[in-house]
Amino acid sequence: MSVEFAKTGDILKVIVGQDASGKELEEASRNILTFKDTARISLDLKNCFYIQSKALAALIAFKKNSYKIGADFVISNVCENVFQVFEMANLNMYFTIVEDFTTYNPDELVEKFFEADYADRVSDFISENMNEVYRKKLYEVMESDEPTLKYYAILTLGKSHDYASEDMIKEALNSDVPQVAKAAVLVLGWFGDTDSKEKIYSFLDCEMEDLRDAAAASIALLSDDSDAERLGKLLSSENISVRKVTIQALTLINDQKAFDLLVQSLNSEKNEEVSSALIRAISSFNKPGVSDILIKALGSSSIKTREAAASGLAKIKAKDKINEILARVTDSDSWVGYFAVKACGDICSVAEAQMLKNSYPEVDENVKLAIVEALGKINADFSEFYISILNDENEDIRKEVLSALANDNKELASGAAVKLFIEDKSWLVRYKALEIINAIKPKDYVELLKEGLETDDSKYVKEKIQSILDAL
Amino acid sequence: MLEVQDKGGKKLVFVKGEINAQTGSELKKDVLALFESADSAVLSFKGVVYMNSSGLREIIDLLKSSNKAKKNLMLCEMSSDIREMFTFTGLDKVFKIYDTQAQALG
Repeated sequence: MSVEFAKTGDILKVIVGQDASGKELEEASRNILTFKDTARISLDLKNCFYIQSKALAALIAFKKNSYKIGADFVISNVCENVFQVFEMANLNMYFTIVEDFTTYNPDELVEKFFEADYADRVSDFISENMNEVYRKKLYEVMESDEPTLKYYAILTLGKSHDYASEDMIKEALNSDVPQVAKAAVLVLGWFGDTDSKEKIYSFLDCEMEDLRDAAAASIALLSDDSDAERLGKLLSSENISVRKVTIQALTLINDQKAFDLLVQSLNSEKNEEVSSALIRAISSFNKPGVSDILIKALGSSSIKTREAAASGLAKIKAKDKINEILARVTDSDSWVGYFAVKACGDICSVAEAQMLKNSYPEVDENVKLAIVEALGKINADFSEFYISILNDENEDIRKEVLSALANDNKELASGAAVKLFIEDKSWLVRYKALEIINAIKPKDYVELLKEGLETDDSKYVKEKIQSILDAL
Repeated sequence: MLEVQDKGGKKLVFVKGEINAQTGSELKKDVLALFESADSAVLSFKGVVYMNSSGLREIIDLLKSSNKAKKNLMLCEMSSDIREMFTFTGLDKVFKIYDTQAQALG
């Protein structure tokens, strides 16, 4: 049979065979008129790897006839070749095209594990709809020697909490294929299988980075009081990626021992990337002393470390240290000042914002920009301050200040934007002013734009003006 | 105490502070109780600053119980640090994780 009908509830599936002729499809499109109590018709093309142009007319007839009986019409499981034909005929927008794995039998579904585009979604589908048939098929795959299928079978069984498969998955830890062992390591971590922890430890020495990372993660997930110390030895590994993954594992364990080891390691770590990872990790501990460590790291010689410290201080909302952070804003190293401002941006109150404003004239341009950005996060009106700094020599600062002003006080921003749109020598600032004028729409702004279209010497500003006028 | 909002039949739960063995266990109990009157719950992690492996194990256990009861559990609004813990352990493939509340609530 080239075209099959299958009705379940108020859904009618029409499954088209590869050998279906245009005539058979036309006949099938007429047949659906007899299915009166149908809410949805799904034309399944899973078996069609090409489509003749003649058949396209039949598909359109399907859609029309579906509407005649009051049913939605979708086309499901369209392969790339067929989709391209739809695109060429501009039908891809005309039809609703969906993915429907319910049409596939277990063998066909498992075969899709080989297709990278589908594998994860098929795995999700099976795990969400797990039943005895799917389970039996996955167990069958577990007995096979095909690593890709086994990898996805293990993950799928893990996602569906299939504890009955635990022994099979433990067996997969002995696989010669790192991908299969990795899936087993992850799933046994999800299952809380502490019996496998010793075996998983053995993967920490392996050459395959993915497998090693999975092992560190699962050990952290299965950890007890003894694991931080054991894992901590790897913080002195010569391999940077081993040190980094150990930091991640200790962060997840997050006990006192893990914290002490990370702090100790920070004192001896020479690599910038690892140091910044340590700072990020330390900021994930709810322990006394964390804010002091982060403030100290604000003065690090590494930008990455300073950035991690600033982000950590903002994350833990170190309000008790706000004065110490603010004191760094005017540091002789402008990057320390920059990151200090970044750190206090999320935790400053209006009163402390005054200190940021006071620091403004003393600091470098990068810190000034950070101050404007930080003030923008505080729920208060700083428009007077913005007006006072709007004539800064730096075009980026003028642009940012104008944006901040527009957020706080539309009336003042309107006047300032008009003035800058006419007078500013930087097209970037004029462009920003134009955006604000268009958003606020002050009196006579259309005339102003028309004049700008004549006089402005920037093609970007002119194009923007033209697009605004066209829209009007 | 959890802050819970009703959003079109789904429960939106705001989790705050630290997720450890104790708070994770309380969260699990409270969310499972919510499932007595709803089929879906979205946990917003926006207020979660700290989480450890014991807390994560409780969240896994909550998912297991939710699936067993045929209830739908979703997570959203995680900080990059918390999201990294899910990615690190491969649990980002197990949980339905969304960037925003709106995406999770559909």
